[in-house]
Amino acid sequence: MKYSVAIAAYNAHRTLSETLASVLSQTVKPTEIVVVDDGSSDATADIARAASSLVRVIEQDNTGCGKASSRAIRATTCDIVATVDADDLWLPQKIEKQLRMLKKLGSRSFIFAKHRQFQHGSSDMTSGKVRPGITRSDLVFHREIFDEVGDIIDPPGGRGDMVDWLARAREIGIHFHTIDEVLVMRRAIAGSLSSGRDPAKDRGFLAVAHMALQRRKQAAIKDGK
Amino acid sequence: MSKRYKTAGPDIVHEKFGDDLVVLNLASGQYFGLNTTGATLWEALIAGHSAAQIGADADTSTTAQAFADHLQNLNLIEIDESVADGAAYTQISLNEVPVIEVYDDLADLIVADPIHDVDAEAGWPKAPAEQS
Repeated sequence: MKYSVAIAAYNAHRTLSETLASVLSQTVKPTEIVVVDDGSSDATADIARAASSLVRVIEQDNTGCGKASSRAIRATTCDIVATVDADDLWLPQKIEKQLRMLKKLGSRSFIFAKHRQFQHGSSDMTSGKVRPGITRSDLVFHREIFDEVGDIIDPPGGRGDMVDWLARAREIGIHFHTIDEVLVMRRAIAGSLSSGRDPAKDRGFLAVAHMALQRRKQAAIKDGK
Repeated sequence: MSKRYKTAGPDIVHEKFGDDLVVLNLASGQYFGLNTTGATLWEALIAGHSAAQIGADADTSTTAQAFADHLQNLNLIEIDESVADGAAYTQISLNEVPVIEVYDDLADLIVADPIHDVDAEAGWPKAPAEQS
């Protein structure tokens, strides 16, 4: 089974080469790795190009994580796509195990895996918290489903883009399956988009909840007709 | 009906989108939709006004108190022991029943979102194991 990897990266010079190395170390190698450099002011694009001839870099002005992820996924050419944040790491058998499960469950399934947190700069890869991995870095799916669900939307504040997109996928009947094994290492960096409580960034989750309410209302109106 | 309330900690966030008020519990991932009356009462209650202050008539105060009890049972508001008088409030009469609807469909996705990975000392107040 061939697959593409889609990565959105913004000022990821500290972490991207490590992320790409973990992708390139998979027991089942990717056919291509599409990196969308979302207007970085650092060496993100150069680091991506230097990692492997499998990497294709698309550079664009800064648009936000969701839009950049969407562009990366749209640019892939394989039937199967795996996404990863530009700072997380895959364990070597991640894709192999997920492809096996995807083949078993079929194209209307999203395959996730559990992830373990680690601190940026720390070599401790074993004692971090293990979490259900329903995030971008854990996901493998059929490319055609992306066209059905539509683009990933960036909520105000930036957080919750995948909450919204995954919710929309589930609403059209996509089945979620999480492999009960840690296959991803999730990096925690102080000051990153997902770090800590921040009312301005957390507004995104409220906007995502509101969009879900609106979809529910529209569905009720449609059903009522 | 003289009890005053505040939102039940930093996990409870809310915002108005046009006429829609959305309340979200970031720890549980549950979100809540309120009708117009519910939104009016929510805003008055979390501003520190008691049910007695809010109601222009006894029926409205009773309704407001019942709604406050319901919000408290949902762990969205808690009693505010600091008994400073709230600002003056224009009393209202309710002609519609306040409604709050609870939704769980995003809960697993919100709880799985990376923000919850952050350690308590970095700002996230609860370790995952402590979440219900």
